[in-house]
Amino acid sequence: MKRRSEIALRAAITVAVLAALVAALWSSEYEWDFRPAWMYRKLYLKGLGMTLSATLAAYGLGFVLGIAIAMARMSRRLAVRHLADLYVELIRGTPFLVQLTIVYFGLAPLLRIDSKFLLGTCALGIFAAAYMGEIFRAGIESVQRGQFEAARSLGLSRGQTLRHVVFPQAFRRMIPPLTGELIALTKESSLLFFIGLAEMMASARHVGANTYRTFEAFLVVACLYLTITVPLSLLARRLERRLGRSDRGGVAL
Amino acid sequence: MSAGIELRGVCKRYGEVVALEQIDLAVGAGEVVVLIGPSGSGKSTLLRCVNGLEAPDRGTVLVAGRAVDAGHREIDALRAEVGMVFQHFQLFPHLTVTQNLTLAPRLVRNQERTTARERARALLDRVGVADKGDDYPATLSGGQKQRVAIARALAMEPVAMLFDEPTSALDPEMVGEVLAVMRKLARQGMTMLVASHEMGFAREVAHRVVFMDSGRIVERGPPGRIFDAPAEERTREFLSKVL
Repeated sequence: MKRRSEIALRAAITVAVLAALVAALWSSEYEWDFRPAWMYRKLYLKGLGMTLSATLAAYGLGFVLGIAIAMARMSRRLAVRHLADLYVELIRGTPFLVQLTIVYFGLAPLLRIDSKFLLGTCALGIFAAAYMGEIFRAGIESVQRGQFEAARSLGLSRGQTLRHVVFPQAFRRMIPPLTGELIALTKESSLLFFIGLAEMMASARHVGANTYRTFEAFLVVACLYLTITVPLSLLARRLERRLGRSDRGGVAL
Repeated sequence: MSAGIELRGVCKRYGEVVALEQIDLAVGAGEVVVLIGPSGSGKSTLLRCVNGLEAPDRGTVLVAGRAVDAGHREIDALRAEVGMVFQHFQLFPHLTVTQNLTLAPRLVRNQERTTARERARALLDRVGVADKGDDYPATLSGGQKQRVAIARALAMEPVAMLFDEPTSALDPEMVGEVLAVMRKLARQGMTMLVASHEMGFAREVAHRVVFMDSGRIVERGPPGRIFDAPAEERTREFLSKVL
C-alpha cells in the first residue's frame, strides 16, 4: 500500500515539473517552431538507429573485453594482473573524447581502417570494457570465499564452482550496475559525432545548422535520449528491488 | 586404517605464524575424534588440510589410503569423498534446499535428476527438515541451515566427515538439534573429525579427544581421561576455563 502511494506521489511530481518546464518555455519571448525538426524526422530516426547500433555493438565488445579484464585482474600471475591494472588506469584516467581522437587520427590511418562505425564502436567498446571489467570483478569478489570452498569441498572442480556457484550469485548483483553502464554508454556514444558518425547528436547538429532552429533541434534529441535511458533506468531499479528480495529468500529471477 | 584419515608430520606456516607443527594423527574407520583447544590453536587448519583446502608445507595427509596432495583431478575426487561442514553453513543462497543437496551429486557423480532428488528428500528427512526442500536457505533458522549443510555433505556419500566448529555460529537454543544429528551420524558408524567447543558432546560421543594448542597436539586420549585426569598442565588450564 505504501508503495502505491509513493508511486502516485512520484508521478505527480514528475508531471508537475514537466508541465512547469513546458509552460516556462512556451511563455518566453522565443518563438517556437518545431516544424523544421519534424521535417527532418527521418534523419532523426536514422540517427537514433545509429546511436542504438553503435551503443549495442560497443556494449557487446565491452562485455567480452570486460570479462577478460576481470579475469586478468584476478589472475595468479603478477604480470597479467599488472597489465590489466594498467589498461584500466589508462582508460579511466583519460577523457573518452581524447581516446577517440587518438584512435581516429592516430591509429586508424596506421591500421588503414576507414569505417567510422568500426572505429567508433571499437573506441567506445575499449572505453566501456575498463568500467565493465570493474563491475565484473566487484561482482565476483562479492561472493564470499567460503562459498567457493564449500563447493570445492563437495568435489566440484574450479570451473564447475565458478559456473554453478560463483557466477550465478555474482551475476545477480551485477545486473543493476551493468544496466547503468548501458545507460552511460548510450549517452557517451553522442561523442561519436566528432569523428563524423551519423548518430543522433550529428542529426541534431545537422538540423540546427540547416534550419537555424538549434534550440528545438536539441530539445528533440534530448527527448529521444530520454526515451532510451529512462525505461532502462526504471528497469534497473525494478531488477534491483527484485534481487534484493531474492537475496533475502524466495523469488527467483 | 585404510578407510580413515591419517596425518603424518604435517607442518603449516603463514609467514611467521606457525599454524601446525609436526602433526601426527590417525582417525580410524568409524571413529569419532573431537579436536579441542583455544581459538587459533590450529584445529581449523588441520581440518582444511584433510580435504585439501590448505596445502601443508611438509608432511602427508592420507584419506582412505590416498594422498591428498596428489594432482588436481585426484584432489577433486578426494574432496568428494570427504564431507565438510563449516561454521557459517555456506549453503548456496541462489539454490533451493533440495538443489543445494543435488548440485554436487549431479555434477560430480552424474546422478539422474530424479535419483538425486529422491535421495535429497530422504536425507532431509533424516536431518529433520523434510518440509523445507523447496525453500531458499535465507528463510531457514541457523539450526536448520546447519542440518541442511550436513545433509548436503552426506549427499556425496562421503567416507568421512569433517566438522569445523559446526555449532559456534548458532543461537544457544539451536545447538541441541545440530548435535543430535551429529550424534546419530556417529552412532551409524561415520568416521568423524570434529573441531568443537562442545565439551558435553565430546565427552559423550567422541572415541578420542585431542587437545591442541599453538599448532601442536598437546595431549590425546579417551574423553574420560582427558576431561577428568588431564596429564598436561596446559590441558588442565584450558579445561578449567571452559568447563
